[in-house]
Amino acid sequence: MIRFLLKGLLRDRHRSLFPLLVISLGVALLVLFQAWLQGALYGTLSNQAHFRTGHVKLLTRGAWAENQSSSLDLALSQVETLKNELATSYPDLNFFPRLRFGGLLDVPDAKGETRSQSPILGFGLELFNHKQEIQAFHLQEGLAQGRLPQGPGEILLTLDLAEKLQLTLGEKATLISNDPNGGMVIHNFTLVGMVRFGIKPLDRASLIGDLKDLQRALGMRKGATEIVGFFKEKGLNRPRALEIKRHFNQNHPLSELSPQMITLSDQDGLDTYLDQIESWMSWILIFFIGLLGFILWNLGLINGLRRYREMGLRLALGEEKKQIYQSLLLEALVLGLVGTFLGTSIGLLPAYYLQEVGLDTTKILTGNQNFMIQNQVHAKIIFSNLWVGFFPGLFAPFLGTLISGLGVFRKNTAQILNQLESI
Amino acid sequence: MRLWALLFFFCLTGLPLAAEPTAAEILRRLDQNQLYPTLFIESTMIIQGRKGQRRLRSQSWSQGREKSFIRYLSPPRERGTSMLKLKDQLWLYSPQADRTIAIAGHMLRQPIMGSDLSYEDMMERTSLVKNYQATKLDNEVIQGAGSWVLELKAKQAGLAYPKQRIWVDPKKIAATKVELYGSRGKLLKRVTIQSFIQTPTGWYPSDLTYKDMLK
Amino acid sequence: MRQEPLLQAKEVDKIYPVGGHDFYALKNLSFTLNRGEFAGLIGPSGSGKTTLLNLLGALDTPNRGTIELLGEKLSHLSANKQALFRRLHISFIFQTYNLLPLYSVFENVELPLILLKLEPKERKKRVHEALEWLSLMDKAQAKPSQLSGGQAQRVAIARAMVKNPEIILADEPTANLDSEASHGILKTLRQINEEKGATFLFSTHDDKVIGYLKRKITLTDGQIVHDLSLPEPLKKR
Repeated sequence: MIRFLLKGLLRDRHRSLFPLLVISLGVALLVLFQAWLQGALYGTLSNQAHFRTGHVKLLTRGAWAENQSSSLDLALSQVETLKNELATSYPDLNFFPRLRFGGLLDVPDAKGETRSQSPILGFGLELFNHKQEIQAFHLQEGLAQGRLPQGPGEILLTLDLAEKLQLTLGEKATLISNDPNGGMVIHNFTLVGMVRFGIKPLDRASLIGDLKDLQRALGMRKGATEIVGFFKEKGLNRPRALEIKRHFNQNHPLSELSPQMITLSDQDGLDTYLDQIESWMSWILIFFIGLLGFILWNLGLINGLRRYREMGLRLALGEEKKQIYQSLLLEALVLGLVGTFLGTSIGLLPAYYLQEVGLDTTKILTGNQNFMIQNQVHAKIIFSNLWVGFFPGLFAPFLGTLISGLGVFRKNTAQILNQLESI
Repeated sequence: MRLWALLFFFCLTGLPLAAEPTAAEILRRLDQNQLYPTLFIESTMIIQGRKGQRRLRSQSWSQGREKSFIRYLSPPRERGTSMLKLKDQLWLYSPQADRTIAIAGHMLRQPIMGSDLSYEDMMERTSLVKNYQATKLDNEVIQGAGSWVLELKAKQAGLAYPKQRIWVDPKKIAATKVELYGSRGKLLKRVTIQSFIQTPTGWYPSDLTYKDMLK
Repeated sequence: MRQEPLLQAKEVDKIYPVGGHDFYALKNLSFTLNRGEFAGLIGPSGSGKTTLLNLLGALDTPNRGTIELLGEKLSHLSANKQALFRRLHISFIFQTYNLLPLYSVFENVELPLILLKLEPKERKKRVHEALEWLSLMDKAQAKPSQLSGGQAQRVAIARAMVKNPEIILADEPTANLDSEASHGILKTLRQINEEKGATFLFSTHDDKVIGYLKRKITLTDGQIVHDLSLPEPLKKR
């Protein structure tokens, strides 16, 4: 009988090809979407950690309370001592002091007067001795022209900023900013390299220099606005980060300028963001199951009507209702299984493409963004891509048939047969 | 951040009048009092910061509304830093970097030396009569003395402060308090003048506080 | 001829609720059908022919009374047992043929044998026999859509006879056919009855069909008003 039914299934495109297409397409979309979200959201999160938040971050209570992460008068002092304390207490993380500041960059003409000018976002990083910071900021990969700073007085600018200022390699520019006391800082630097992060908020106007060099220029020899910490292995560990935060904060005073530990989750609403990623994933799954289920249920209902003749005849020929119902469910199961396999394979192809090549989002996303969203967003294929499709792909048509099949099951045999005559 | 300053660019003189003058008349008098043919001021600006006080000493020379020059004397880090204003242009010179930098656009809104005073505030030496329409509000009592209160609305767009309120001492015809408002009616800065010195032509503020109300 | 009762209806009522009232489709109906008969239920529309045919075919159960096939009370069987009974002993021929459009003539005829779980070899043999009997061998691989009405009904007949049922129930089998095709079909059915000994019960109001019947049971308002068996001069047994 199974062979007989299979023949019918293969010959009837309304029963085989169309549901198969719907399932495959739905599953393919789900797999692609999941991989895309995974890549986009976690990619953003990873950038957010590298460029802004760290896995944990130390800053003064005042800076955190007033949300002034680049305010030098609220900067940490005695940074080397703090860093050593952190490294000893929490050996599972690497810690890097960073200086984040605002200011203006002024480019002189031949007479030494202003030729061009732009506000900047400054970063002082440990560039000279620490490869990790160069890696965290993707400086080597992002270097579009020139080289990384190797000595004092050398800076990098983002390509966009250098172009805006019409500044070329080797030229001098003057940083105008404030020291921690509000005093005026006017300091000359030489442009040695241009970088492109591929992240809009950073590319707009970033200046990167060595930490010690900028500390000197800004008159804060042992100060930094923050110390970021990264887990040495396997990325963010939320519970451990929380534990470290609690431990550190218990052992430090509560004054405005004393250090306070925060975690990635505490910043930029990332806690909600992290939770949202997880809840989005489940909602998307539920949505797809619902949508596919709805479509396939309807398909099942229409199919049921179309197949009344067959059902009636099979009943007349002496097949039990239960057998017919089971055969319908089996059919849905087979379709679901094949459709899901197909869909998963089909979905993984563009997902792989998006993982390797990425998608340019600069035209899609506009406006001011705080989030470190890459211009080129990549998908990320994960293990669950392989099984996630089975929920909607297998269960939805099964459920649809389960419900629509009840119609056949409940009706009186003679009723079905009488309807046979009127079809 | 709070700031007390001894600055002399609010230059106000006046003689007591028998009858209470109109708002326009008061404004004209305030305007007139700001203007000296030439002016030399030596001042100390005390900046109250998070990490304590800083004192900046400076000398300034000015001619009418359009020309002025300021040079900082101390602390050593700022010594020699100078600013030149010609009409609506402003330059900054730094001896450390040996650079002359035009202060324009974005930078005009930046605070000077970490104070609550912006470059734009320093540039604002325009005529009140020309730029504002004044109406008189109810008189108020400040520190035991009655004050006239004027509300000023900008005649044209583009001014740093579209609305101002000025409290005027009727005896001196000098402003004792000025409130500067933004385009959405928000109070941005408050200037209070604690004391005056008498000059041959009027009363000059000798001690004033300039506060950024958004900080 | 041996009078061996095959099917017996005793005091059968079938009631449908219509607009809050009970409508008696069949009322206190009793009759017996013997093995080898070629009988017909005759009467106008709404006289209860099809209702009775459904009851006799174990597709429905009466509200009162019993129906016995091969000594077994159909009305007392579970739905699954009823299905089994249909599978083993009863065949239907419908007015609209009810061939499965996706399957070939061969496969349509084969279906009852698949349900009986016969071996493929045995199935093939029996289907070929049936198709040969009905001169359909050249159409074995054709799809129902490629057949004329007469041919389609012959396929339906082949499907009905292929499992050698105890009884074949035919509901207006010629209603959709022209005169020539109708006579062809009816001759064939008589032939099956006479040569293979299959028992037939028709439901019809078509004079052509009535002309071929050996026993005419006339129904009016759910009750038998005439039951007339013809002498059998044509019988060659």
